[in-house]
Amino acid sequence: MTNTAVRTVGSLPLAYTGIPPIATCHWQWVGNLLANRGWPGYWERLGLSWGFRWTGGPVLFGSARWPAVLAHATGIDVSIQTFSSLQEALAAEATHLAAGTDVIVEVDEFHLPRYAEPKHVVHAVLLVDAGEAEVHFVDSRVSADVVAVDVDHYHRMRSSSCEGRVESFKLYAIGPGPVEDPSAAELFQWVRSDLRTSFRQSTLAVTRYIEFVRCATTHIDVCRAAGERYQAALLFAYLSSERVPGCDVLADRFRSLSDRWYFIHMLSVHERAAEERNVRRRTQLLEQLVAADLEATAAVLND
Amino acid sequence: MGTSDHQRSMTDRIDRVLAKSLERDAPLADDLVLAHLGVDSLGVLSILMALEDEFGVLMPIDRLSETGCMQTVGDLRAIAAETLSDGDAGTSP
Repeated sequence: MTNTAVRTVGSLPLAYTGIPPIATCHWQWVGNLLANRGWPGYWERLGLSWGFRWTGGPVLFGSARWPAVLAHATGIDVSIQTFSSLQEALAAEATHLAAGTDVIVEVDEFHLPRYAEPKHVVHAVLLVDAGEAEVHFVDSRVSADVVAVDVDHYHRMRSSSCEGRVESFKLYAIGPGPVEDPSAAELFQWVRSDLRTSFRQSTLAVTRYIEFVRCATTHIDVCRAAGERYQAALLFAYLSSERVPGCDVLADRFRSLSDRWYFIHMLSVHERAAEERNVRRRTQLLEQLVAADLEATAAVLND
Repeated sequence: MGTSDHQRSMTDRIDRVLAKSLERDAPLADDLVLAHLGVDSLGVLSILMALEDEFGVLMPIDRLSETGCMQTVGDLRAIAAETLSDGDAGTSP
């Protein structure tokens, strides 16, 4: 982190701490916020949808449809927002905070305090307060402390370029709620209902992505798909613990899918990723993995 | 070269690659845990690629995605030996 004054100004109860897998730290935060609102155990229930989106280029996105399913199932409004400039993002953050809406923001880890070896990589923290001189936030990966940094430092955190920041000035606004606590069986129905509407589009997106990867020599980025399968595995483990039939097998299946997606991500960021054998290898592994992934989703729909 | 000599030579070459990659003197104990040596999964991937460079054979690196696989020096040694026994080891590429 760059040299700046950092103060601890409070703390927040955290049900979930530690290092979550890549591309899942925002889910850990949503779980923490819901626990603090009296809805514990929701981090394990947030993987309510998964799939693929592709907008061209090396990044394969997950479906990011879980907020819509969560809203239908529990009544909570999670809004994912991106902005084209820092000023617009800051204005939105101020509006959300003034309305009492919880705000999770993407920042560059390099500028976060208390990291021994910070890297320029994207991370999500909870924004607690934003004044004219200071900004207060919590980094659950480090501690439950609310820390204060000066606004210029916060602007650097929010805007500096870093690995994994592919959507600019992203934030998650967590509105009031939930108002419903659906049963495990009801959650599973919500999941299936959403997959039925999104599966075809998702399949099309990943098919196009594979065509792109077959011709690409650049790096690829699939960690968001890995994160969605990680959360789906947690969901199925929860559903299994609630005795929803077949979900024990699905939990294992999605855990394996998540591991395989993370492996391709790791292979893609390795310093020797561009070597011909590794480019060939990642394409082959990706083709096999996508087939397994689509088959697993089809199993959820047809079970 | 007889079969046992051939195997000994291959084992020596595997050990040399492991020792060089891990920046330690050979021989390395089988039960050395890679994480305790500061080697993360990217590091294991690098070691497997170094073995590929040495033998000109593709290692089953996708097995890194299996939970609990390739945790120790012994695991790496076993995977290298198994792969090399499945196909002839070439010379260094």
